[in-house]
Amino acid sequence: MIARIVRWLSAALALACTSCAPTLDHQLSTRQYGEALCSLGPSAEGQRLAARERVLAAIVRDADPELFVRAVTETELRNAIGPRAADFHRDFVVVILAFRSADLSVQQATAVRFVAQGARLPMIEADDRAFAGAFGERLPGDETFVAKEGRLSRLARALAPTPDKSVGAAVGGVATGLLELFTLGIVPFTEIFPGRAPDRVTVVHPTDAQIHAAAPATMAIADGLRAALHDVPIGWHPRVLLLDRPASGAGSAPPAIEVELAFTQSSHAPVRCEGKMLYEVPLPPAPTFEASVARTFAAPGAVGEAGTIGGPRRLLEIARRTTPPLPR
Amino acid sequence: MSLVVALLVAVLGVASAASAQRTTSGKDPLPVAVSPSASASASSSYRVLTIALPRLPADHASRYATASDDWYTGYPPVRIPVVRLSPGVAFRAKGRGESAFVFDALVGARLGLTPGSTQWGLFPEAGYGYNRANHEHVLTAGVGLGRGELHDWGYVALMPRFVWQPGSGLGGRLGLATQVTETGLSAEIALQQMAHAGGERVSDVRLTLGLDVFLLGSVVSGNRAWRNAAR
Repeated sequence: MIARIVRWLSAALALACTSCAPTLDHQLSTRQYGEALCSLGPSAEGQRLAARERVLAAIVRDADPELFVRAVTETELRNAIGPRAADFHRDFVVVILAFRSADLSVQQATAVRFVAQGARLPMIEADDRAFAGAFGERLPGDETFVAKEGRLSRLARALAPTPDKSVGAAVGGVATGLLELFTLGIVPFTEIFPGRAPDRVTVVHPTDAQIHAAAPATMAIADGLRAALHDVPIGWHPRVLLLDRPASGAGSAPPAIEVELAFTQSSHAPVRCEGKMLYEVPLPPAPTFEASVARTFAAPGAVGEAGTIGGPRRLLEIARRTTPPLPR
Repeated sequence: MSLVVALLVAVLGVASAASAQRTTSGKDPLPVAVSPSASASASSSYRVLTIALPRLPADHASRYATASDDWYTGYPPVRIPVVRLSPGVAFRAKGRGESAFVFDALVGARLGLTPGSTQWGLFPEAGYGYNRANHEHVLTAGVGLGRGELHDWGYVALMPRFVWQPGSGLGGRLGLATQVTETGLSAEIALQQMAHAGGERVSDVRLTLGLDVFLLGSVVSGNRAWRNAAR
């Protein structure tokens, strides 16, 4: 009997051994990046660090991220808003950026920042409010109207036992309504005991014409940027940013674009498996920030002066790793 | 009469014309597709910004996994205690005695051997068994081997056990057990063979339905002991 049990156990163990842990090579060659990230464990030392580097490099290579950046020039601003462009251009840079990468079996998140003199440049999403703040214009807000309830309406509401009323409220409403009727309206019972008056609030949004009249420079820029971006293909993630203008000229280090890529295993599992890579796109020295960006994203063979169209570039062709992989 | 009809037609005609005019001229353009000439503010000398952008390529790549090993998915090997009460019936296949109600009270654990949402696991269990008609009281102990979603859906396991009837006999039991983990319900079919003193051999086929009272106790008392163990 015991021998039979041992035989059963041996067979079961042999069955278990047919399912062995997959190698990192196998996971990477079959694009199981989430499993590869989870297999690295929490340790960030030695061999595991090298394996993490290898996994993240393989993911980035397969994601093949592409980046496009374009800075709005002073000439373009001047054509739109005339002399006000000079002040705006002295303080701010409007940047259009678009990013995309291949869909993988892991979730991806990307942050793009601008760096100058060793510090990240302050930036915000360049929406209407941001431009209005930069131009010192005031966007008109919503107008709210509260309508005073008429006497007949109040009487009808008191007498009507609508489903939203409790039994007490319905009885009380009918009583106050009838009392007011019996006194021929001389004693305004429904006004003395109004119950819960419904809010008759109307919110009126400003019209397009009112917004344009109140903030003409803001809308001239914001409308133009919206028009430029409205037919971006699916897969690209366009953004418009308003930056504090970095210092330029002699003695100023050229700015750079910092791209942080994060990859996370898509799962309901209790342990979150993720990895991050940080890249830096150095921008070449140029008289202005706009020209520096244009040279980086210039069309092949073109010089890339500020205002030229250029095109997206593969991140791995123009960027360099800046730090070791961040710990989990 | 004809005058009234003519008046009605005229009124309706004017009304429909007014309506058509409203639908064609009363709609604001969408703000996302403003053409530079359309939205230039009449109240200022500003013009809408004109900026040239490249035509971004539209061919978007998708590179999904070509295999799934379900090994490293963020689920560590489970460590879940089990306290199982299993009533059932034993059919006497060989030997003296009759088919009867049986009852097992078992304490053990589910121990994952591998990570992943589906895991291989060891199932050590020990406990007490009772056979009503034949008045047998036995102690059992063994370690099973199985595979399944141990923290979640359930598993199937092969459960070999030693069976000891104090002062009377020794034997073994080999069962096939399954449990829908999160309900706490389990079922087992097993073949038990006992060798009693004097050389008598008894075989039972046992069918039992179990309830995991550790899970049940966790749920009823509202604490997270089971959930913490499973996660």
